[in-house]
Amino acid sequence: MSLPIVKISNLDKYFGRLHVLRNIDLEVPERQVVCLIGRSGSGKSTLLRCINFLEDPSHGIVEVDGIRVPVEVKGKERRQLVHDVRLKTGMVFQEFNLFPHMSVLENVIEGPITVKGMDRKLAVELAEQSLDSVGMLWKKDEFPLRLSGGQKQRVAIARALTMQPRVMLFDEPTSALDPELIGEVLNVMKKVASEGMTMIVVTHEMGFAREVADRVLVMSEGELIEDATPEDLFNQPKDPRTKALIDRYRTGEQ
Amino acid sequence: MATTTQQGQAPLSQAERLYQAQLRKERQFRANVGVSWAILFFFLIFLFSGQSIEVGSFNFQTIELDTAFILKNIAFIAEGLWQTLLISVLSILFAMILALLAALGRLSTFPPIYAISTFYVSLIRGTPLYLQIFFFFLALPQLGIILSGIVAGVMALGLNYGAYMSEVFRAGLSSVGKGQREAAMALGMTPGQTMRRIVLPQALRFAIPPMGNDFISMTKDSALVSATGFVHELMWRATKVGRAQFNNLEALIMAAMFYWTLTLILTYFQGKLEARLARGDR
Repeated sequence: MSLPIVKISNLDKYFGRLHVLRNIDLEVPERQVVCLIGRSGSGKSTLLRCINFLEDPSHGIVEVDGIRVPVEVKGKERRQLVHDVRLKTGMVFQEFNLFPHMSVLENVIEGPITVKGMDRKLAVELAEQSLDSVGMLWKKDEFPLRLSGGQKQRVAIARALTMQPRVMLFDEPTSALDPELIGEVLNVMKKVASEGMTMIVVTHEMGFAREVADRVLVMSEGELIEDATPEDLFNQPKDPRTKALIDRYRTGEQ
Repeated sequence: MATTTQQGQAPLSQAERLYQAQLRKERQFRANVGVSWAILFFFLIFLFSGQSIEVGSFNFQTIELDTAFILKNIAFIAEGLWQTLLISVLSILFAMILALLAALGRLSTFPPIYAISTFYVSLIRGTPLYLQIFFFFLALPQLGIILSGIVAGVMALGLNYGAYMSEVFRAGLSSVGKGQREAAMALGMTPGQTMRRIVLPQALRFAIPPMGNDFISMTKDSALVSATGFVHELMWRATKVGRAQFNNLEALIMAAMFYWTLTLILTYFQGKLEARLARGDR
C-alpha cells in the first residue's frame, strides 16, 4: 500500500482545561473517502481542523503527504511546515466563507495567484476548469451575495480544488444549507470522490456516508470509537454508542 | 399612468398596488419634509431681515444686519474656505494613517506594539482637542520646535482624530468574520497576505462611511485652530473682521453659513458614497 496521505499519531487537543481530542491515531491512504461522524461536541470538527492547523494540536504528530509536523517544532520552521501542509490540503467550511468583496472567479484565482504566485492567465484557466466541474462557470462574474447556499458551497469547493490539493477536508459542508440545496453539493462531492481525490468529510449525511465513503469513523467525547466500512458500521455497529448514533439518524430520516 | 386598467392591459396585481402605495407614501413624506425645511429656512432669513411688523398693539422688530459690512467682507471670509478645506483634508489623511496603525497595533500580540497603540489612544482621548492644538502652537516652541500654522494644525487635528478613528477601523477589522481569516489561511495565505487581500478590503468598506462623518466633523473642528491665530481659515477671518469693526454678529453668521453649506455639500457626497458602497455588500 502506498504511503498514507494523512497520518495522525498520538494527537491530543485541549481547549483550556477541556480535553477535546484524546490520543487520536489515524491513517488515510490515497484515494480513500473517509466520513467522520459523531454527535456535536464529539471533537470531529476539531480533529479535521488539526489536519491543516486551523487548530493547533496540543500534543502529537500530524503528517500530510510526507510533511511531518510534530508539536515540538516551533517558530519559523513550524510556520513553513504548516504552510506546506496547507498547500497540500483543501478545506471546505460549513459557512462557505467565500470572500464577499470578490467575484466568483476572483475567489477561485485568489489562492493560485497570491499564494502560489501563478500567472493570472493560467490561474484563470485552471479556475474556469474547476468552476466548470462544479457547474458554476456560468456564474463566474457574480458576487457571492447573489448566490444560493448550494451555489456558494460549490464555488468554495472549486476554490479549494483549484489549489490542486492532495487531500480535501470538508467540515460539515451541507449543515448550513436548506434541505433542497443539499443534493447539488453532495453530487459535486461524489464527483470529486469519483475522480480519485482523497477526502475526509465531517458530516451528518448518513446517506452520503453509506453511498460514497470507503470508511466511516465514529467519534465520541474526543475518541475514535469505531473505524469500519459503511456496510459493517450501519449493519453491525460494534460500539453501543455507534448504534445509538445510527438509530438516532434512522429515526431522524423517517 | 395611474389608471392602467384600460382595455387590453392587465390590472395591477395586489402586491404591485400595495408597493406603489408605499412608494407614494414615502415620496409624500419626503416632499413634506422638504417643504417644512424651506419654511424653517425662510423663517430664519426673515428673523434677520430687519423688518418690523405690527400685530395689534405689539410691534415686532426682527434683527437687522449690516449689509454694507457683509458685502464688504464676504470675499475676505470666503477665502478662508480653502484654508479650512486644506487643513481638513491633510488632517484626515494623517488621521487615517494613524488610525489604521493604531487599530492594527491593537490586534498585535506583541506587547510593546499593543501598548503603544493603547497608550496613544488613551492619552489623546483623555485630553481636550483645544489643549492639544495649543500644545503644538505654544508649548512646542518653548522646546525650540516651531511649526508653521498649517503643520501644527494638521498635527494636532490628525493626532486627535486618528485616536478616535482607530476605533472605527477596529470595528471594521472585527466586522470581518473569523471564517474569512480561516478560509484565507486554509488556502495557504500568510498573515500579511490575509490582512492585505482579505481582511483590510472588507474592513475599509465598513469604515469608509463613518470616516466620511469624521471628515465632516473635522471641517468644523478645524475652526479651533483659528484660536492660535496662525491659520487664516474661515473662523479666524470671521473673528478678525468681526472684532475689528464690532460686527461680530454679521461675521459669525457669514462663517456659520459657509460651514453649513460646506457640510451640506460634503454630506451629499457622503450619502452618495455610502449608497455606492452598500451595493454589492454582503
